[in-house]
Amino acid sequence: MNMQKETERTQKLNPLTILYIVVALAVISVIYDYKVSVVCVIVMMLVAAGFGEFTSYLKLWSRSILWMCALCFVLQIFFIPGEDVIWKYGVFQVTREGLEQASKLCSRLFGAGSAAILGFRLIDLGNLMAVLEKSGISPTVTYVLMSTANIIPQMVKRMGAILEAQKSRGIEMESNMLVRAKAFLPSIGPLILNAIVNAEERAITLEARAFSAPCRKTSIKIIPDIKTDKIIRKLMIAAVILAIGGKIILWTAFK
Amino acid sequence: MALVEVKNISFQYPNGYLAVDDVSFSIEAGENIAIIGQNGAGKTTTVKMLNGLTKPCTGDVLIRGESTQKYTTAQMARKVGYVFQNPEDQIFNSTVYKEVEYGLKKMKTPMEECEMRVKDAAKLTGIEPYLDMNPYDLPLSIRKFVTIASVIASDCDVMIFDEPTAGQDLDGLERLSELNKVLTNRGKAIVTITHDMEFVAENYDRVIVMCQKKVIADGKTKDVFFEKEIMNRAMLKQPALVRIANQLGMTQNTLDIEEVAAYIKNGQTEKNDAV
Repeated sequence: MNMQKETERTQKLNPLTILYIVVALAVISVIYDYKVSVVCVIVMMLVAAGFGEFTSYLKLWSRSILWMCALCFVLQIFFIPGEDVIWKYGVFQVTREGLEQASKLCSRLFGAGSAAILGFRLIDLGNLMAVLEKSGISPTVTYVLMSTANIIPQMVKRMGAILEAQKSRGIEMESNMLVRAKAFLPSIGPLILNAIVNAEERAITLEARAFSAPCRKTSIKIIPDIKTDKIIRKLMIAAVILAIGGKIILWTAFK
Repeated sequence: MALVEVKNISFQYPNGYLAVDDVSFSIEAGENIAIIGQNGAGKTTTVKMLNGLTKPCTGDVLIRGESTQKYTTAQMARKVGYVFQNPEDQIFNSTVYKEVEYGLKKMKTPMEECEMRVKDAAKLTGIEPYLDMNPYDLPLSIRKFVTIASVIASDCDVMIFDEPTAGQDLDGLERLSELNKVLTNRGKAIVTITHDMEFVAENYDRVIVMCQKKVIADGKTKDVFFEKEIMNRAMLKQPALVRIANQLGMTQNTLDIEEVAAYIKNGQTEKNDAV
């Protein structure tokens, strides 16, 4: 069922095309102000909906980027000093300069962060790497990218097992900060040692699969790249060029 | 009162997956029990509830009459020891000695007693020659004994071994078998999860069979192994001796190779007499 869904989803567009869309939206929202960012995020929502991922994207987005931006905004407006005070309560004061700075920074974070999450939801990293490899990028680079993406969930899982093992031998972890700090070495020790021990095994496994063999490798994955993909990619490049050009014109005109 | 009392425990993960469904059993001090069943039958989740790593959603686990709900796993470690499947998850000290001693130090055991317990555990598990070595320089099968030694040194009443037989050679299996005997003689309750049916047949008096999150049989090993229907239901293979005895049409349940041999010999003599 899941597999089927996966293939259906990836068949819709080439992962490289999705990457173009995501990067274009991120760039546009970063170079303009918050109004454009909001529009870009709405477009991202629509893109997610187009891939049947609207609910999952919204869930992830509202739990991460929305909160992060809100927190960042609040901290910024209260702590950036300025002359023009808009609102004051006790020691807290909001200045116009603070508000401007905060909205500038948060709109960038909002756009780029939302785009990153969209990419994370829609792009199958394995497929993207296959496409990149086919277009001539070194397998070493794609391996490093892939393993970096995989290592976090793996480590989280491993950490869970380590914590359970250490609790079971009497190392307290369910108490105050001091107790938890004491448990730091027994928790992190096995994680690092394992990473070192596994590095050798990984290297052997890679070599057993002819990783560094000096020849052109075939791939089991065939990722379609249709006309629509090419058109969308060209449109995205055009959009980014236009956006940057527009920004430069605006900048020189109002200087 | 039994040392361990498991009363109708169930466990459901937050995502709704039911891992253990209404399981009950009790274990006396000095008992040696094997828990068998397919992967995903609920064995590990069940034993994790014995030392409080996982708290049951319904039901209760009592160790010497006290509920595990009241204590953290670290507090339970004094009573219930747990040897994990993967020794790499706990080893981090620079020598085997320090690794075995670590838990004792945490429990603030006096130095002299610490040394005595570490040496005893090392002797039992056969890791004495490696005490000054780095655990990561040892092969996996010996590293597993390092983690077993850590639990033995903590001298808890109940000891849980999760798949200790995996990857062990004959020497390792014999050592495990010897360990079981010594520890049960000391009054410890041993609970072992394993997939090695031959090892179970030779070393455990009682066996608990789990299938689809439930206990489907709990009794004397020889009786359970001869229940073909239960073994089939749990997708377990009967040990060779049981299959031979069944083929011979023996009516008596036995895991004693000599009894089966005697039966064959008698049959042969009867045949010869008839001829």
